[in-house]
Amino acid sequence: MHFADGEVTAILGPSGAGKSTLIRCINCLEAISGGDIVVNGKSVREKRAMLDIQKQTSMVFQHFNLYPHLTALQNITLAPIKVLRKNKADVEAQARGLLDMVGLASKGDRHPAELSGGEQQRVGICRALAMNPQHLLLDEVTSAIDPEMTAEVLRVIEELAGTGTTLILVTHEIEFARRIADKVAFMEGGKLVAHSDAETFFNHQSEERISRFVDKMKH
Amino acid sequence: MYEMYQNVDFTLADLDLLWRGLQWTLLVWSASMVLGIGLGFVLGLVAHARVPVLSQLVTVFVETFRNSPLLVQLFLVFYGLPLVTPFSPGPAEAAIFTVAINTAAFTVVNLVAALDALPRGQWQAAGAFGLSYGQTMRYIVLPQAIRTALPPTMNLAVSQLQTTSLVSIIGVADLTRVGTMLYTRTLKPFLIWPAIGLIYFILAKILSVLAARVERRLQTKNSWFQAAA
Repeated sequence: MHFADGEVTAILGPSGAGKSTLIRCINCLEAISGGDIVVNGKSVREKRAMLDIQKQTSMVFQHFNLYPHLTALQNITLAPIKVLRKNKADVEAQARGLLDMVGLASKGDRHPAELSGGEQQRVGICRALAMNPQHLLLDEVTSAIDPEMTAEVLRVIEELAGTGTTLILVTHEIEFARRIADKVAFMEGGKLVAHSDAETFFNHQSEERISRFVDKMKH
Repeated sequence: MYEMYQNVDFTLADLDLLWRGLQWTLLVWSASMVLGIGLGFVLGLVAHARVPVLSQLVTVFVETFRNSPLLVQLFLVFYGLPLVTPFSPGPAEAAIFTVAINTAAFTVVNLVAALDALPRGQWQAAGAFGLSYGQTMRYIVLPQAIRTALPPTMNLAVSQLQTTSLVSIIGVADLTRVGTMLYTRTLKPFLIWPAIGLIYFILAKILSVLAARVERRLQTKNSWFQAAA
């Protein structure tokens, strides 16, 4: 499977298919037991490449995993300052810009617990974007959020599609995937079952099992 | 005849004696708390990092000192150490050393529990952005873990104040020792021991009120804490 630069790939599949594990492996959060993943020519199996890969890929988590003791702004600026060693003032300006983009300009000084789920996840997206990643990994980013809050998060992701960042998103929002994905990968039981253009995947699906899954997820 | 060897009256010099006893108690307590909590912090990090051999040694240390009486530890240090090492500590050194390592053992437990209680997501969120182990500890993990470990460690420090009365047995001239001296001279136990007890009570009360205040401030200022993801 290949993820081209700037492309949006949605990874679909039933629970336990290994979707999250796959993107966690891309980000070196989990060690791979076999095969290989190459990010910009560097293998995740190489210990020395790990930091480089983590600088180029950013993760947005299902359960946000914001740092609860830091404000929204500090959550966003920590890694760029400490890992990328960027100037603090620059990073803060960038972070405020990102918060503005996701509609949270006034909430930079709040702690995560003072924000709603949707707001926390938007901060999580800003935190990932502040690393200026080439590849953004989104791990079921709306599944821990109240339904009425998911729209605001999805809108932000939709805006990111087509900005040159490679998006790889694990999702159960079929309609959303249909709307923004260029490619769709379907996983089941730890294996990649299908990988094709979104158009082909949704409209000309040859595998009946997959069409049934997609139909079921629509409702 | 009996009366001849007795000086049953209290004098101003006795107040001075009490004052000096109080100073010794506070010295032993504060020095051993600083050393013990500091040492416990470092050992807690070692234990949590699962450094091979070292963290097993920390476990042995913790279990040994948590599960034996402080008085036994005091005797071992004060009477035993000079026999097997070139060190022969005086009563005060032995007292501070022993209370410190005893406190360290309990501090390790508090810190490791707090570190282990931190959700795994915090480590992942740090690792995913390339923060090193040291950076993760410093900026993400410890700020949260210390807040969790602080209340039990403050309680420990308050209760160790009473425990320091044991050091009187190896000859530190602390409050309890002064109490013994005054008692053997005046034979007025029901006057002296309540007075000594009252001083401990007041000290402990002050400390626990301070600790409660710090704890409250941690809670109100960081209302986020219960909601830590």
